[in-house]
Amino acid sequence: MAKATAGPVRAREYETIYIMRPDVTRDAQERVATRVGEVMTKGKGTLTSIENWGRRQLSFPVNKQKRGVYVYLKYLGQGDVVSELERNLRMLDDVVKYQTVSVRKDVDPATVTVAAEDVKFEAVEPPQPGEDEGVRIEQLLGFEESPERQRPLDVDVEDDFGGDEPAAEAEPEALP
Amino acid sequence: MMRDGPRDRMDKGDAPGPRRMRRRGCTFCADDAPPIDYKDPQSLKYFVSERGKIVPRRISGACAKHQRAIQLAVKRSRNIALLPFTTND
Repeated sequence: MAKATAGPVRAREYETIYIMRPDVTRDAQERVATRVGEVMTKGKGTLTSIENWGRRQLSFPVNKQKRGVYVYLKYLGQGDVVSELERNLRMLDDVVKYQTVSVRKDVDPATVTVAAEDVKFEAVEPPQPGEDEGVRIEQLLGFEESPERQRPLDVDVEDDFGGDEPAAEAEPEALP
Repeated sequence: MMRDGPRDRMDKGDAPGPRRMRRRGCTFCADDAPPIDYKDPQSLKYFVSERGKIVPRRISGACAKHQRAIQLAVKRSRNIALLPFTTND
């Protein structure tokens, strides 16, 4: 049976988030965004949105970094665009992490209109020396305000019930 | 020790009464519910314990369908470092 090749080409909609090192320069950010654009044109994909979420706190260290520059992409294309994009992101040293999610299946690319300002990439400034580390994810999510967090967590549980403090006894005597 | 669990009821030989806590319906089944989005860790924090674990259905109150969606969203969110896998401090 012949394959039904007639009719408009259907695409899928994907979204990719990639995280760059926190100290990435504006030029490097632009370079990555340009590379993404090249992959899209080469793989016959359509970039519909690119958003820079800025420098954010990571909920766990990635490559020994506690913060990262998040960039969110939304695009239409076939599966090979995704693999090509991910291959490129893997090669770039500034990109530390990425994730692609399929959003919609069977989208007609002709029906999608792309606004010029949606696909314009805006780089963020590299951090100034002495810029604060920002709030931790536990603080942001309010985990540290719960009553269980009041007790210092590095204390042994037995110490709470035993009452004796061997650490205090082991204290060196004050010199005469 | 005062305990009012199901064991105590059995000890006294009482027939189990009606549930005191009425189960609320799934919050995501409402028409005006916001979508479950892995990109929004603030909205997912109600479904993650203080340790970073996914809250079970009997506590989150979500229906099976939406619990699956929450589970997927939390896992995606963790993978892109928006939510912690665990907290050990």
